Amino acid sequence: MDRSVASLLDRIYEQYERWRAGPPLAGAELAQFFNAVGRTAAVIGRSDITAEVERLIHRLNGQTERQWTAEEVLMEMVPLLRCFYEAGKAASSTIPFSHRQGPRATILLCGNDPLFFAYVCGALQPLPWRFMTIPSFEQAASSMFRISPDCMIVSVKEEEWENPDLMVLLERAGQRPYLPVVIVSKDERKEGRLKGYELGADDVIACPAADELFVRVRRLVEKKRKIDDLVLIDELTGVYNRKYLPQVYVRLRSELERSGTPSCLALLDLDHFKQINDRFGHLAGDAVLRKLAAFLRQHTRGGDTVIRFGGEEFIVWLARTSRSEARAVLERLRRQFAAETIDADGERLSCTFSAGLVEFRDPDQPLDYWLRVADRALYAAKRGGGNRIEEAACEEGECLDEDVRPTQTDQQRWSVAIVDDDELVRVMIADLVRKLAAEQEREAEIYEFDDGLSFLESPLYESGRRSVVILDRVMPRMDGLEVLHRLRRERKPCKVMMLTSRQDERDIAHALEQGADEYVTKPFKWLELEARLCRLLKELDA
Amino acid sequence: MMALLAALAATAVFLALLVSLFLYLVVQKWRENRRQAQLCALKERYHLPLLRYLLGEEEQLPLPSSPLEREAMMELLDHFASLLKGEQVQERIRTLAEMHFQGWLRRRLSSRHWSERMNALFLIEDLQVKAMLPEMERLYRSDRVTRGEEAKLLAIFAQFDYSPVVAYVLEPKYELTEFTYRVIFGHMSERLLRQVEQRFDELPRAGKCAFIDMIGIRRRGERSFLLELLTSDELELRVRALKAMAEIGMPLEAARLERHLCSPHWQERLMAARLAGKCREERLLPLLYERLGDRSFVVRSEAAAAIARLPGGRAVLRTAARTAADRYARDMAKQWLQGEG
Repeated sequence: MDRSVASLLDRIYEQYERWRAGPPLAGAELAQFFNAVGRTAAVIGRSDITAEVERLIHRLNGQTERQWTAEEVLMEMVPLLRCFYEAGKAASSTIPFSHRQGPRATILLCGNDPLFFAYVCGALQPLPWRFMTIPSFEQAASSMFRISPDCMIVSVKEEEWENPDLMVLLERAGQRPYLPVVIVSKDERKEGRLKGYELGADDVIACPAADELFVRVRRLVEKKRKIDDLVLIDELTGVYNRKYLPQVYVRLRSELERSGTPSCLALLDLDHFKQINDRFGHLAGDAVLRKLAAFLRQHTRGGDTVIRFGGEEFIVWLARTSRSEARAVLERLRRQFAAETIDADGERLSCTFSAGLVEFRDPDQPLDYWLRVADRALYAAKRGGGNRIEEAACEEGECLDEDVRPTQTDQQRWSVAIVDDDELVRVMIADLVRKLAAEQEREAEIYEFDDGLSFLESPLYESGRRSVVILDRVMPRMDGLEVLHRLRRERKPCKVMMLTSRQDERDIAHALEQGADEYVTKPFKWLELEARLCRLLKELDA
Repeated sequence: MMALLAALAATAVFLALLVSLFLYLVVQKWRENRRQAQLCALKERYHLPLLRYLLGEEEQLPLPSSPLEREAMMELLDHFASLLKGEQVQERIRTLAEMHFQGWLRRRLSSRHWSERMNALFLIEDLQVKAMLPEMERLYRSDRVTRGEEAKLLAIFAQFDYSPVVAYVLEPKYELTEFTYRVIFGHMSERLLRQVEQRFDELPRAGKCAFIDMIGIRRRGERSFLLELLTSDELELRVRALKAMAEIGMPLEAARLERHLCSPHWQERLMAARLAGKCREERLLPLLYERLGDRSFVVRSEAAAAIARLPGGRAVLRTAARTAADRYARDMAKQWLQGEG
């Protein structure tokens, strides 16, 4: 970007900051500023910017009477920003179709560069990428682990290289297994680039166009996947090795804690494997192991995990699956695998497996405990002659009462608690839940509470049913954060949406750290509220 | 005997008075409670239809027919206005208020009771009823307008981008506080702010202070205006101008900053140090270094913070922590380095 264009962009940035600090603006006022931008662009010979500015002014003036907030103006500015960042090559502004495929990824954008980030999000919209923006380095450093992104793009200004918060952020990024970091900076000096690499960035780019940024980031995301895989893959079979098991456990445990979603762990063992090895040799044995691994991978879902636990034992961990479902899945796998023929070193053989199955539903028990229980069930299956599935017997204290276990009808019914001292808010949200339930052909049970304490003392809270809790941040007697803290401490299987009346980033980040799943600010943007609530309700079904 | 009778009669009259007063109060309270209960019931009846109408899900709205219904509707509308944002909703709220409640608001604005007038003003502000401008103008010019109303009226005028407000803030009927000025300037559009700026000298002192603060808060790049203020004889204006510049991060050459850094007033030295921290000019290092030993703790602290922000500043602090002649300066540098870990 040449100097005159860059300084014009700086002018827009300064103006945007001013708009952000002030009240909403009328179109005429905005048009005045953009007109000046258009004139300057004409002087420096960038007619494409001038043309885009005219289109923008036309859009702004098309809605007289409307007051624009800074964020709304920013969304409108995306095509204009493209002209700036793509150096007049407007044709390249859309990513060629062949490039649109990329792995699904969560990209964390951090730094105070709203214009560039708006441009990136706008230009890369067609991709299956989820962007999250956190303006402050400090905030990003503390929320990074919660978001667990696949790549982090940090925008660094010339004067920010020495910023201690930036160093902390990059240091933390380096502590994870591997998180690729791309630094984007307008600072084109060599010192800046070197500094960026020194701080641990994988890539330092001076203000790239979106297509270039996309290719570089995609490469890093793919690399991250590879590195993550390399370390944890069993060489022989290509499925995860047992090193990966604790990670799966932690992930599913947090899912269990946060939303009460149970999962099922199955420990599989090939029947009579020793005889195959003895009769046909180790190569044949290896082929059988590879076959079973490939078969399991092929016939399980994306969220499930297949692990070679050692020797001829495998673990299949079925996420978001109840006992009865898991049983059905494993029975099907067992039947199908028994019917498979295996080409093993010139021999054609068939083989069967047995499995012990346990439902993982108590987050307080360590991984070893579940492995022991599953192993006991597997032993029972072997004793029963092999080629069968056994469920772990309920032991004292580890089994829920039959009547507490959610029944089929519970699954069809959403339970929603609205905790807010403002009656009108309760009315509005209850109405919205009913509407969403009607659209999804569901029944909704709605409970209203006017303060946190009465919610905590309610039978709904005691029963520990899976529900969506909509929590006001500020309430008399007990505020929302305190309620949230209790919910999480007692590991209630609730999805929580916080209603905050302050657009305070710190406040929101704090709520997220405490374990809120969503937050919405008052006054509500209705459609946004609807979308977020809908997402949470659907997660109840998962 | 007569005296006793007279005393008895007086006591009886007094008792009768007390009893009747008590009964009157009881009845009044009962009526007020009943009215509130009716209002609540009406609100409950209206809230869903009104919500659906505002969200555009329904086009029909049962309109209020009695004064009480109108009041319930108005309160609900006000409440919704504080809970919902978005173009269409706000627009619907405004048109509804303008179509059906203008008469009611007008009556309230010309009420004898201060509280009713004030509540009407709050409603007009919340619902953005611009059509009420002529009535508000009339109220502003009337003799009975009070201090509180004036502050509210001017803030609403500023929100509605009503030009005469410029003249009113220059010569208000009552003396306005700095806070009030801040609210008014916070709502003003750039156009009106420029008009105020041209007549800055006519503003009362509180207005001047608030105006300068607002430049910083809204990050308006009024460089020449601020530079001119730095030469003012009034300490307060100089301090606020420096503060606004620091807020915006507006650079100031070292020679000019030096004058403020050496001012006899600690407030001025403090803000100058803060601005120096934003300027990132290495030539400022020696000046700030001197301030590390300032008489006032806050200035020392701000100077250390400013040095830490300058290129190579942390090294300077480390040196100061070891070798500065002044013990306070050494302490401050140490504290700052510790605070940063």
